[in-house]
Amino acid sequence: MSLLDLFLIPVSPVASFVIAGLLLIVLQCIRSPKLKGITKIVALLGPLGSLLATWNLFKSQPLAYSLVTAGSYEAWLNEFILSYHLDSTTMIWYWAIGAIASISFIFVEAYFKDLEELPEILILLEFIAAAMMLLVSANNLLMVFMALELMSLPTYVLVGVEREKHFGAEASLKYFLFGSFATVLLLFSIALLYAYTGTLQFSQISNFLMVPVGGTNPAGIMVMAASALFIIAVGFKLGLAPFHMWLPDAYEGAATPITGFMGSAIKLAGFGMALRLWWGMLAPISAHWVAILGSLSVVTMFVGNLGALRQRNLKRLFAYSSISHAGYLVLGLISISKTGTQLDTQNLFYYLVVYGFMFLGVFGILGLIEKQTGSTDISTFEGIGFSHPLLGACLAILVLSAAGIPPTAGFLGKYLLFADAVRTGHVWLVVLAVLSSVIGVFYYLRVLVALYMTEPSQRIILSSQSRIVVWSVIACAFCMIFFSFFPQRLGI
Amino acid sequence: MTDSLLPLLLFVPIIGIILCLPFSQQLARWVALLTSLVGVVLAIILYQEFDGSGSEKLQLAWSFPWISSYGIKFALAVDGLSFPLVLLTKVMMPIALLASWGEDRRLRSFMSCFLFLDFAMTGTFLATDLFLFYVFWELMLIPMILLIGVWGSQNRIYAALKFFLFTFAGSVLMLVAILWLFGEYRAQFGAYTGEIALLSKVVFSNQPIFWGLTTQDLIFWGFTLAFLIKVPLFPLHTWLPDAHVQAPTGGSVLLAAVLLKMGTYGLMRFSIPFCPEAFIKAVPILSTLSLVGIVYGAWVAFQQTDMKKLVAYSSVSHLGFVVLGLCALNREGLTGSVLQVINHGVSSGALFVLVGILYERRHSREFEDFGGLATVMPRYAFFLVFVACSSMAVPGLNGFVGEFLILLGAFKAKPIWTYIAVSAALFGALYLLVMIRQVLFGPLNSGENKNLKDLSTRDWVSLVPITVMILMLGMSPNFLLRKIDPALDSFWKTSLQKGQSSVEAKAKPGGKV
Repeated sequence: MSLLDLFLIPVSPVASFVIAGLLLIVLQCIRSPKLKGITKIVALLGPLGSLLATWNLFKSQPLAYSLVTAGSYEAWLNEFILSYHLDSTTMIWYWAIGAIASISFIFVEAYFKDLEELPEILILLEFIAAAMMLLVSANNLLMVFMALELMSLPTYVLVGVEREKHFGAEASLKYFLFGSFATVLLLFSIALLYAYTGTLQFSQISNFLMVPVGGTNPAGIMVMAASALFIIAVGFKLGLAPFHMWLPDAYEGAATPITGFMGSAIKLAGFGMALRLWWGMLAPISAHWVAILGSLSVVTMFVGNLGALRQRNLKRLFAYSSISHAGYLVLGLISISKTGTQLDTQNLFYYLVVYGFMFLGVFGILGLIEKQTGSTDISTFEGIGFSHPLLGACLAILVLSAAGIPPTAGFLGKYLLFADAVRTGHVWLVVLAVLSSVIGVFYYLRVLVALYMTEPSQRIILSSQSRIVVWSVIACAFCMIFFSFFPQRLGI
Repeated sequence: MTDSLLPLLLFVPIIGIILCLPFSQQLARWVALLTSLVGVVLAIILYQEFDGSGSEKLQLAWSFPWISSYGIKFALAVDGLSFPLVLLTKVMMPIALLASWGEDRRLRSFMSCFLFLDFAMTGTFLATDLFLFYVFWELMLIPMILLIGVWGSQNRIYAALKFFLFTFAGSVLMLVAILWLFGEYRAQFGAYTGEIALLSKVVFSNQPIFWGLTTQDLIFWGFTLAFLIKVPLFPLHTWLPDAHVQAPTGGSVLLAAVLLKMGTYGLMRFSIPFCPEAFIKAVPILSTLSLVGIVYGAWVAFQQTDMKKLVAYSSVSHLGFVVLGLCALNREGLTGSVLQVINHGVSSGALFVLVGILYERRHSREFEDFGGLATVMPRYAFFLVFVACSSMAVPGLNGFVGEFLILLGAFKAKPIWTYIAVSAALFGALYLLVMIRQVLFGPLNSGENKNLKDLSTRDWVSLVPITVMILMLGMSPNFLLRKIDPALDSFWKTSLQKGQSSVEAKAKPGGKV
């Protein structure tokens, strides 16, 4: 097998984003007004090419790129190849990232269409998407760190991209400070693990940890400290309570489609990373972190749901809602079990994808309305259910899905996660989770009440140019119904 | 035809919704009515096809796989427990639609909500897969909250939210119980299934795991709380008066006639067969609460001056009887409960129709606005008195049969229950008579009332079938009973008696544990 087969073809979904990003940079350098129209199309080539490349990988040979084949090269090359892990599970994640990125690009292009900096935003998005793919298939702590930074740094910039809004600058700064703090902690825990094991590969660390560690000997303390730091660092990145303080501000301050992207795609990648870190690397000492993550998940659900109760700005409301969803997802994360050597991640993945489309769809609608009215206050949405039936119905379906009410996919996702959790013996966590979801229903219902049960306060006319956004939103809402009746499509 | 009867029953409303959308607002009303009439025809066919004495319990089964890795199917069937309720749903649908005929806001959406509610209710009764049941059970909330919240009266949003949150809180606990039960089944039989008949084979251990409660107790209460909220049993009933008062007339009719029945249906279909021993242990609590509910509901109804509120509280009282009948643990009580469920559906539905007729003409439901209506609306007065008689269980009408059997059963179990319940039944007569006196008789003092029109053709069309049903159920309940008796028999033997005997065996010293 040539080096090309072994390394270049597997990274083709990632490369597609990078190439599109570089092309955009070149286009920007030319600065020809004629090329302005092409920018948007070139930008879309990234996610679409990535989807195509993933499809190509799927079609050719799903499991060909296993790690075993890498043995015959020089040591440094081996190490390099091994740092990137690709299997059929990872490729499903690529699908999701590609699909969510495509829709996000559409939203971003529509929202910023008059902004001069649109190409720069698109460039940053391309690199973030590439980093997300690297993150979910990282097999090496260094790779994790690099991908995480490549993902985070452009995001800090994107949050503050609307320079005239002082909220954006504040959000960006807050996000940056918290994010870099988390990075430092992550780096420290990587250092500790490296000091103990002498390697950065997940599988080797995992083998090392098979030998029981713990107690008060220095090695045990080192591993425990590293694992605790991991929880804190990843907790910051995923917005788990009590490390969530930055999240509502960042989500509210960022431009609406950027928030949609952050809440859906970056969450997805973050959980992909968390999955690989905990179950790929720290699985042998799972007894030490499952209980901690379990309690964090419950705290996160309640903080998210209680925090959302009093919000009148829908952006902030859904920011809190995304905190609570992160809580459910962590519950799913700790409930993963193994059949053979294969991790049963499909339920978590199902929830993540459904949640991703839900969040994206909601923020697509918020962006549309905000563009017309300049506000995402709940009063702006009054009466939309009857003045814009299609948009209203889409938002209603998305909100019902967020609340986890059948027959939407959000319900099935919760059901599957809870079924896993009950099976692995977390019945009481599930009881707390469903109780917090009752609190959650209350604020989701407030959105429904605004949509359908209050008379409109103002007339909103949508411009005809936003048609593609409306279609994307409909696609998101359709996913909520479709995946509920055909969960097999997502591997259930 | 018979193979696809149940899916037809289920999906005809959905076809109706699709047909509603392209038509004008006015036509949508007719489309909805026609759809519901098709439903009635199908229900009559179902009555013919359903063989109560047949050896197979579940009939006309129809299914296709849904989430196969979890053993979940889209499975429909009908048996003696669900059969009368399906009939009730289908029959009450056109009546509810006619009761809300005067609605003129956003008719297309209004009618779609009704048809969707029909779909969800039918699905709830027909589902033989626990997961599917849960899906329909929750699905029902969406059209109902819209009906209350969009087309309701003054305080509608508060009532809609309260209704939703109460029921949702119950249902999520049921979800945990369902998951737990699925897990137990998987642990014992090695695979997931959603089939209700299989799930009742799960055997629970007797180890207390939480505050002296066993797994069975916890699962039982998970299911039962959800159902008791829906019944609603005292003290979980507070959402009901609000929902009833604020809902549009048709919504109230369906809420009283069908939605409340899901609670007792759930008890008989899930709680008791899955966890018979836990039910026997819970009888003291349930019977006490139902007795309190019977007396409290009647007393509060007696204090009301709003007709709709009065009927709503009377529901609390009447449905207390149903739970009491189940708690009696004997055959009389059981039959009485099932009959009472149907009777209450018909009678209280009819009462809401009648209140709605008055409200439509006068936009008030307060006693003080009326008086002496018997002189201007004699036909209306006849029907109100007739239905009130049925509701207060006058012999010969439907209410009597059920209540009598329940009281008989209760007397066999614990005579004191009967004394308390009978005294409340007296109240039942009292508050309805007070309403009749205040509204129909006395001087006709308000000028506005002098010009009230008597029943229109539409009112006749909805009231006559109800009257016929009240008479049929009262005179010869056998036309229904002979279809459902075998199912009740087997329910009694497999669930109630089994639970009782195993509880007794454990109570005996030296008995097997």
